[in-house]
Amino acid sequence: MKISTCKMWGLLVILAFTGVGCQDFLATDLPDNELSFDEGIQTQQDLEEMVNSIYDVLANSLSGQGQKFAELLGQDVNMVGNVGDDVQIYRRSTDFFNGSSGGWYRDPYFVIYRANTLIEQIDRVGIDDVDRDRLVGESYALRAYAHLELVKLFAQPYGYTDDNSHPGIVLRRATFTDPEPRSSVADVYDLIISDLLTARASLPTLNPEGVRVDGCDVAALLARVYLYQGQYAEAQLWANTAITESAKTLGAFGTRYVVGEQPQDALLYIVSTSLDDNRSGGWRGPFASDLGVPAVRADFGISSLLADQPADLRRSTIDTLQDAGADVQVYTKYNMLVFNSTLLSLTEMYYIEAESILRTSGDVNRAKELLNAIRLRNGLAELETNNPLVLLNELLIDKRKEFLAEGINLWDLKRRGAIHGEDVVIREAPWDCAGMVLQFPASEITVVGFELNEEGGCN
Amino acid sequence: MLSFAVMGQYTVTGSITSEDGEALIGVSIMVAESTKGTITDIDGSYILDNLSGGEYRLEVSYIGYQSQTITVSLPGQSTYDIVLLEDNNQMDEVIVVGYGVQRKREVTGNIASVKGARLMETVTPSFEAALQGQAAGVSVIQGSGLAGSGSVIRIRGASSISAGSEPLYVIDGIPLAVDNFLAEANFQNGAFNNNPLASLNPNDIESIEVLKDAAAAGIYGSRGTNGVILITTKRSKTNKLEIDLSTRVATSQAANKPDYLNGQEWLQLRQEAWELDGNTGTVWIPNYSTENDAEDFKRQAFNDASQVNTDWWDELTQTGMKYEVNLGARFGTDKVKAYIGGSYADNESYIIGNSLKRQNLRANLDFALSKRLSAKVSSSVNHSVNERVRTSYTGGLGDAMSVSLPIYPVFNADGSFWRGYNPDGTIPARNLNAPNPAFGNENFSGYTEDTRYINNLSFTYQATDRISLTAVGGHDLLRQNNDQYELLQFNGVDTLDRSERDFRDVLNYNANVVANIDLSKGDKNRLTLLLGTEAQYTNTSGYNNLIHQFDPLNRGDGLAGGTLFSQGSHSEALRDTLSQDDINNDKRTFLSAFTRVNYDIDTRYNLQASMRVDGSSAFGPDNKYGFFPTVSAGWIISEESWFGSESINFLKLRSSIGLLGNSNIPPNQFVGTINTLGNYNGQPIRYPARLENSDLRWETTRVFDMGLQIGLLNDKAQIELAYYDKLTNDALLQVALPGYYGFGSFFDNVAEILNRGVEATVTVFPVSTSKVRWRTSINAAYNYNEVLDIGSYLPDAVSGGTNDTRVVPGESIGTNFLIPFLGVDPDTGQPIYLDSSGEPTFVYDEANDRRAVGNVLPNFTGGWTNTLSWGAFDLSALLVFSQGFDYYDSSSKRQLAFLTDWNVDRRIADRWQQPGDDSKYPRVAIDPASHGNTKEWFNTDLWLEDASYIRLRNTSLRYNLPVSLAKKMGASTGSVTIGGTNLLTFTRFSGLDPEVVRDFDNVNDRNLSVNISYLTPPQERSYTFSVNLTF
Repeated sequence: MKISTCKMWGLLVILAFTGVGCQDFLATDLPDNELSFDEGIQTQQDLEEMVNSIYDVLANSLSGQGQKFAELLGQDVNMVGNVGDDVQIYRRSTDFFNGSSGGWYRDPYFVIYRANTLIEQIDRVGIDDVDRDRLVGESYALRAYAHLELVKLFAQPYGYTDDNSHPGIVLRRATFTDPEPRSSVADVYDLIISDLLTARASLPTLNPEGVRVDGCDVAALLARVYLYQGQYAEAQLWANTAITESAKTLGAFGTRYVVGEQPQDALLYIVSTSLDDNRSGGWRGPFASDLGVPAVRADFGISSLLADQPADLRRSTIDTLQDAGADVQVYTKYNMLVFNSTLLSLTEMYYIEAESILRTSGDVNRAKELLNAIRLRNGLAELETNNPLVLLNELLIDKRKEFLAEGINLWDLKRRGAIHGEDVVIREAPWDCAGMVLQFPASEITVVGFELNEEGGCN
Repeated sequence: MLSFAVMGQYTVTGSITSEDGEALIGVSIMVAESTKGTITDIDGSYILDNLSGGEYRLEVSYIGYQSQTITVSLPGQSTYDIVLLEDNNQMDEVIVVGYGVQRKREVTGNIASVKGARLMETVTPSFEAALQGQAAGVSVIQGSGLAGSGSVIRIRGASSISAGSEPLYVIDGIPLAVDNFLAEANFQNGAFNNNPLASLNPNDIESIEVLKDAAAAGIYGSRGTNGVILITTKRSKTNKLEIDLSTRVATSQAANKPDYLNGQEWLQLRQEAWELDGNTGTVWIPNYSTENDAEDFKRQAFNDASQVNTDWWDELTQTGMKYEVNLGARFGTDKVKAYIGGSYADNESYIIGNSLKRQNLRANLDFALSKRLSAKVSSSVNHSVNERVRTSYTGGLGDAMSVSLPIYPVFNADGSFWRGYNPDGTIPARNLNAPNPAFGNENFSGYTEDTRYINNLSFTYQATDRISLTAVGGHDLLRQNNDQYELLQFNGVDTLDRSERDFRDVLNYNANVVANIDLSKGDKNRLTLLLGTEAQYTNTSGYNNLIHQFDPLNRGDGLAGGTLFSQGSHSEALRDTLSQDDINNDKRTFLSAFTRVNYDIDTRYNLQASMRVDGSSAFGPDNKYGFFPTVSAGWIISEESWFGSESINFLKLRSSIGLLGNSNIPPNQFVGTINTLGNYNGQPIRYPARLENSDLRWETTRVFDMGLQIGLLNDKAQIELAYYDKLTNDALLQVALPGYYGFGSFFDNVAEILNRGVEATVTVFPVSTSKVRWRTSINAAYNYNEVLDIGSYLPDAVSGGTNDTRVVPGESIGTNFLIPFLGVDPDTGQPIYLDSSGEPTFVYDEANDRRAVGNVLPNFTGGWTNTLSWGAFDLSALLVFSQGFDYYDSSSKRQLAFLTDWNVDRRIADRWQQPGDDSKYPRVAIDPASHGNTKEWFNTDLWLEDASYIRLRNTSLRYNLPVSLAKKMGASTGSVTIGGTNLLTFTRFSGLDPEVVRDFDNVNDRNLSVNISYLTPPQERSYTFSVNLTF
């Protein structure tokens, strides 16, 4: 039977109609909480939110998580058992399948990527120079902070080789680049300092809220970096600058980790607003002892160290619990459900300036003044001596007590080994054995040419 | 045929029986080229009345019997008793193909057809599992013994890595949305991937067609690469009321029980490990003592522990019961025909507390609206509640297989749950956290509730004798709640009871318009044209973490707290709104145009070409459309005049080649995005969420197929052979980027994958007498799979999740990437590994020494079905087999040789104990350093084993009730069946079950990591009793 032309056309029309508007129908339809890259960065508010997101990552990665690794590698904690990611780190034998350190490793690079995005995209947004400088300054500062945290954990310290040519980490100066090898530690520190100086030049001196980086915080970071490098003149300069510029005081004892308010001596801190936005879990998880014996306990040597000085308020940071019939020492600093935690403290600047003075034959009285301020805050009598060596020794012991379980002391130990050639032994392992550095995660060897760290050698 | 109308009305009557003289019920008697007809009643009798005088051709047809045509001349003989012969010839069957039906003999593609009744014979957690062994090249890897567990189905191998490799499921013409990763996390789901097919009713299924090659699946173009499973549900074909009632009662037991050391043996072994590690004194025992305890205390703990011997497996398992009732009714008039079906099932598994309850209602209506216009409605409501239990790494039975040691009692003397050794009662309860799954069961419950509506409305307009137009609209909505309830005791940290809901809506609209045009000229050749367009819109939305925490004494809604909630009691009104997380509204759309031309020449030559253009929202503007052409041909050689074989009654050669595609990846992967989800310090945040890849495009698979169909001795034996070659280009990889990129991963078209194989199906009727009929059918398929290329990436760029499988060029998808285990040093008992240069080493070095050591995809699969009918009895058995694959038991590394806080498998007897021992397993150790490692995970090929198996999947004995007995029950026919599932397994595999797959982390994992278990509950063994009645 012959099909009439009319019927065929009718058929085609019907078919054609079903395809009307196909471009719209197939158009990209992003979820409500997603925007295309171009749409997502258009206003100053967008940029402010981008910076907020950097702090968001920082709050997830440096509220105990990153610091825990430094404690596990260090001398002041104790773990039982012989299995688990954290135990592997504690035993200084991290491998590239360690989910704990491998998972954390990405976070600082999220910070860096977002900071680079902001630096690259800011000029396509209409924004006045003051705000532009502030946002760019924050981005450089946070990029430097993230690179610093990475190089501390994944590379041997500054001073490990004479020229610091030993492998550091991959530096990311821009968002899209090809795979890169690890830069030397020297190059890493150069970029960190360069970024911090850029940030310092761009940022206002003080941001009263304390939750976003200001010029004073950058000064504190510079002090920390120069301390790690053993460049004490610069460290003293920047620590003093931070102390001078800061509107903070040392405050009362035990106020670096507090519920619902600004930590009293914090230059920069992380906020936990409620149970639903709790950023203190990284501290609580491994260390808190209010609901049982935690996985990470205090080393028994700590309580005897603290017992030397009965008046020391810091003795309360250690408690004794029973675990399966045995006494165990635990930390109490984090026995709160939701709290704010300090990233950069005035107390640390006091120590840095004081130590830098003592190591450069500077004004001993100033060093003593700084150290005694901390001692008074902690219920201890002032030191009388003007002997710089005695003071330095007291300072190092006091700083260790002060920052127990805060992820700071390990870097002093490594610095003393690397910069000053001290025979530092950490839980029966030399400070520079391979396992004292975390191994990179398996993701890093998905492209050819990445150099993993050596493993083992500590036990 | 001619008919001559004359004055007068006449009637034709008679009876229709089988060769055995049994009355055949429901036989169709149609007057040719008219709509007039009838069917036989319960006596096999028929009446065809109101016939005018003239000559008629009556077409008599009945499933399973050869059709007959008789010529009737009226007035004249009015009684015709007909004997129908059983039909072995499947070639004249009409089978469902994409967007239509075809006679099987004319099909140029490779299609396997499975009747719904066959699926119902096997007790499976979900209907798709019953496809195992039914069709060559359809590999079904069963899930676990959990109620509702899904299977992994691969048709002719795996050709995708990061895109979904599941076949496309099409039910009554509507592509289903099937997402195995709907739930927020496996952990919340009890280590159990979501199975969106579990809520469907297998009893609704009339038949399933599996489209395997380009000719068959090409009409589905971009979604045909992994094959297509067409599900056709039951419909009414007659006006007569017919009611089917079937009930089934079944048991559920574990197909195998793990054999662990008892408490005393475990303690002795731990002491042995302690001493071999170089320690002295009494070993410390998890949850009894610590390494630092005094020797006296450790000895006391050891002695007290040795008094306990708990069988945790027995504590947590049962003989589960399954009940199922199906009721279906077919009825109709000349204008309307209806099938109404309902089903209720309550399927317990062998794990205490685990069940799947299912209720289904289906209405399939067919309307003859006018002479040219007809309509079909296919509508179903499917509701299921899966009561979840924790298994595997989430606890429950997983604890019983790992950390719940036989030395842990269930209860303390006072009846409270034992949570740790506390001899003098001085340890605060909060410090006691020994795993006690019985305690977990008391304090945790969880449910997955699926409600799924699948509705389909179609209109067919027969414009002329040669043109018909069909418009179909489909609506498929799945609403899923994942609820869990925890009392505060559960995790020992919270001070509040807690309920949580995650929910998902998956909305799936589909519309298509298809025109069928007959362009034939003359009688010898037939030329038909199909034109169509189709649009599909799918959106997945929902929330995670609808959390309500409440005082254990007061829920806040006036009801008492402190007791576990039951399914449906989650209060969204009371939830803590701040804890709510929106999930992405994942939208995807397809818009397609397609055509198919069939040209059948002289009943011998069948040619087909199809083309489909698909547009997809998954890709960017430059790659939005894909073109998928196929051509195929069939040649029925036995129809040639020169073909004179006596023994070969049917011989057909067919071949096809074409391009198919796959775009089954998460939406919008080509576009770089900024995400605005979340906040910090109460302030909004936004951040780069995805790298742009504007070049992202379809995976394309070039599929070549050649096949031969042979009928021997008048179809006493039927053989189907096929060879295929599938080459996938631009395979999509979710590339794990180095961490320093600042992104986790992105999708890229990188890989090239080959699947090549042969299939054979042989069906023979060795005995076919009036009393005894034996049908035996075996199908087997061999598939070779190789990843040819993954671009510049290394194996770790495409991770198989936590299962240590990788994508390695030159190896199969699903390659085990492990450290080779050479053996045990007879002097020291230490494990010896092979390093990257092939040298023995005691050092376990994953960074450098892992390599391809096995593969988990079977390359030889099939099934063997035997059906023996003897009088009123039908005996059937289905053997399935799977050969040539490695099975990686990821839990063995903790259950053998390395002695932490896990149960130990009795195979540990073959271990090194003293110098000179020649053993399979190394010396036991507590400290991983004793085995050259720094952690508890020893990922070596010691845990890799050939798990080839043959399994008696199903066997049943059915007694068909005599008509007289059925009549006494008010029924026309009836049967009683007893059967068993998974009764026998033949394997050298030394583990628990060679046929279990665990939950998967993601799509990569699902594609790469079948046949890997981690504390996974084994399959269930089931005995069934069922009764079927037709009224």
